[in-house]
Amino acid sequence: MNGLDWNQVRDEYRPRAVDAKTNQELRVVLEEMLALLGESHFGILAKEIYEPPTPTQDSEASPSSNENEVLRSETEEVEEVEEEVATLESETSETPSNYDGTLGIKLKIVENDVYIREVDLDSNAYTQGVRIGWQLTAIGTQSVAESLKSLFENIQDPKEAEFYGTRLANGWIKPENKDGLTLSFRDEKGQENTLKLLPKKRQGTRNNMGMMPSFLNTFETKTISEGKIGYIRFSEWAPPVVERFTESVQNFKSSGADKGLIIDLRENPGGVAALSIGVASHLISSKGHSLGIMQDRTMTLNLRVFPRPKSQRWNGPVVILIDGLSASTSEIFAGGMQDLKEATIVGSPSSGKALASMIESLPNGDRMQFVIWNLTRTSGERIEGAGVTPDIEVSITHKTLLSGTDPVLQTGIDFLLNESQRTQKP
Amino acid sequence: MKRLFFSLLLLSGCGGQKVDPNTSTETATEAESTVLPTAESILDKALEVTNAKAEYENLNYVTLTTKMAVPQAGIVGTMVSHWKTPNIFVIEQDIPGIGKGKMGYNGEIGWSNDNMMGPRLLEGKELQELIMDADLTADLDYKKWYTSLEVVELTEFNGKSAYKLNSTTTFGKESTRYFDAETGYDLGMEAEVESPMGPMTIRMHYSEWTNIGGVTAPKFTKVQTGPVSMESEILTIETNPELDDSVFDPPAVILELWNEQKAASETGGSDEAPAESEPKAE
Repeated sequence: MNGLDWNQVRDEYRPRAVDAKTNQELRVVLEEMLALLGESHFGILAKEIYEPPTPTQDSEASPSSNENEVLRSETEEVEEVEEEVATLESETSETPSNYDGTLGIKLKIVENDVYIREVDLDSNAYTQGVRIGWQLTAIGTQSVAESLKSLFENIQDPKEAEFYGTRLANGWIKPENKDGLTLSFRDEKGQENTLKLLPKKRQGTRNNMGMMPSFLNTFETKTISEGKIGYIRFSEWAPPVVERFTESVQNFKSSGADKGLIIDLRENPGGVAALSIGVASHLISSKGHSLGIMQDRTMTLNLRVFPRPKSQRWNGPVVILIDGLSASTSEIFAGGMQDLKEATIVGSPSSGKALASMIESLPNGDRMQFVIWNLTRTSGERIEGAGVTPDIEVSITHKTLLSGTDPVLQTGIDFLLNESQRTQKP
Repeated sequence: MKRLFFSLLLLSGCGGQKVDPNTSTETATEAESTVLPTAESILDKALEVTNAKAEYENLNYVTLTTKMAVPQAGIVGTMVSHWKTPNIFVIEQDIPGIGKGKMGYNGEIGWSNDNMMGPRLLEGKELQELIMDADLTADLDYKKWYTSLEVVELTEFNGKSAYKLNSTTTFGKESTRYFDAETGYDLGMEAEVESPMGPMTIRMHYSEWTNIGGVTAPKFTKVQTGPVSMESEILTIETNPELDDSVFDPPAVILELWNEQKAASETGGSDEAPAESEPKAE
C-alpha cells in the first residue's frame, strides 16, 4: 500500500466523501485517495461513459457544443463522451457505438508544445494542407498553451507530462459530431492557419469487454519499403488482435516481405495482458520462454509463450516501436521480447505503467480500476515506474517532425534493411 | 478457467439423486465424538447419494451446457462440453467481447486453442490432470486415480459441517476435498492446479446438487483463484445425445503442432529452451 495505513487514509477522506454533493465531487475525493498509492492502474471511471443517456435525459455535465469550451480538464472529458454519443444518436440512424469520427491527425507533446505527429492521407485535414510538424495553437478560440499550463505546472516529470498531455490533447480533438472542429495551427513557416476540419468515420472493431468502457479497436496491417517489410499497428490489446496478427503474418510470408516485421506500439495504452502471449507465439520458435511474471501474495504466474506451428510463425527479424505513451501490455510485450532477444526495440522510453488490474462497480454506478497483480520482467525488474528502454533510442524533436518523416519508423526500417544478411531463425 | 471446466466435467461424473438428509447414517455431532469415517466410506457415500453408478451405467456420451461468469469483471459467457466414455472430450467456450476457445483430449492429444494465447499442446502434469478430469468415471473408480486418501478432520466448509479429505493422485497432485458430513454430498475442494502460466491455487465450492437431465450434479460452482472469482451454472445436461465423433477432433493447427513435435522427437531434436531466463541463441 505504498507504506500507507489504508484504514487511516479512509478515515481521513471519509468526511469529504460524505460531504460530496455530486458524483463528480466524490470522484475527486476518491481519485485523490488512489493517487496516494503512487501507482498506475488505479482510477475511477465515471458511469456516464458506460450509460450514454438519450438526448432528452438530464445529466450532471452541462452539454457544450461551443468550441470555446472544448478544452476541459481530464475528468470533464468523461462527460464529453456522454454529450458526443447523445449528439451522434440524434444525427444518425446508427446506434452510438457504430459511429466514431476522427479528424485523422495525431498529436504529440514535444518540449511542452503540441505538434502534429501524423496526418492520415485520406483525411480532410490532409486535403486542407495540414502537415506533420505543425503546432496546434488553439481549438476554437481557446489557446492550447493556456489549457496545458496547469498540467505542466502540476506535473514536473517531463515523461509524465508528455504522457498525460498527449493523451489530453488527442482527446480534445476528438470531434463531437460530423461538423468537426475549428483548429488553429502554426505551420512550418511560422504562419498561423485556422481551419475547419471535418471528420471521417474511424474504422475498427467495437469492443465491449466486461467492465471496460466500450472502445473501437483499430488494426492496421500493410507492407512497406517496397513490400520488403511487414508493418502492424493496433490501437489496443483487444481480442481480435491475435487473430488479425495470424492473418497478417501469413500475408507477409506469402507476399515475400522477407526483410523483417515492424510492430508499432507507439501510443498503444495496453489492454488484455494474455494477448501479448498470443502475439509472441508467432515470433518465438522454442518453448519454455516467458514475457514476464505476474505475482500476488499467494501466486507467481509466468506469461509463458507457446510457439505456433511453423506455418503460422514469423521467422525473420522483428522491430518493435515504442514511445512515452506505450503502456501496460505494450510494455510487457516489448520488455519481454527485448529480454528474450527476439526483437529490437526502437523509439523512446515507454511510460512505465505496467500492472495488472480489474474494474469493479461502485454503489453510485461509477467503476473503480485497481491493481490485483504485480507485473515484472523475468529478471524480477518492475516495468512500473521504470518503463522499457529502447535498444535504439530515437528522439522526436520539432525539427524532425517538420521534416515530414517518421524518424522512429525510418530507423526501424533502416535497421531491418541493414540486417538483411542476418541469419534466419529456424 | 480451465479448472472450472474440468471440475464441471468431474462433477457430472458424480451423478445421483437428491438425498434426504435424514437418511444420512452419521451426523456431524456423532462424528465429532466418535472416530472419523474412512475416506473410502465418504467417497462411496458421495456416489451412493448421487446414484452415480446407476446413472452412468449406460452412459456413452454426455453434453453439458453451462453459463459462466466473472461477476467482478462483468464477464458472462457460455460453455458447451461433450464427452465420450471413457475419457474423450472437448469443451468450447464463448464469451462475448472476449472471444472463443476450445480445449480437448482425444485419447492421445491434450490440446487447447483460444483467441488469446493461441494453440498449444498440453504436457506433463497439466496433461495428466486433463486426462483425469476427462475421465467420466474418475470418481466412480476413484481407487484407480488415488494413491493416498485420508480423512483428517471434521471441519466447516462454506458454512457446512464437512469431512476434510486429503488426497494424492497417481501423478502426485495433492488436493483437499470436502464432503457434507450430513448429506454426503461433495462440497468442494482446495488444490494447486496446473495452468499454462504455472501452478495456481484454487478454492472451489459446489451447491444445489440436483438432477439435471437425468444426471445429478451441482447446479452452481464457484471458483476462487487469487483475487478472481468465477461462477458457473449448469443449464442443461444431455445424456447419450446424437453426436458425430468428429466433434472431438483436434483442429488442424493442433495436428500440425503434434506432427512437428512427433517429427522432432523422432529425429532426436528438441525445441525446448535451455532455461527461462537465458537468452536464446538466434
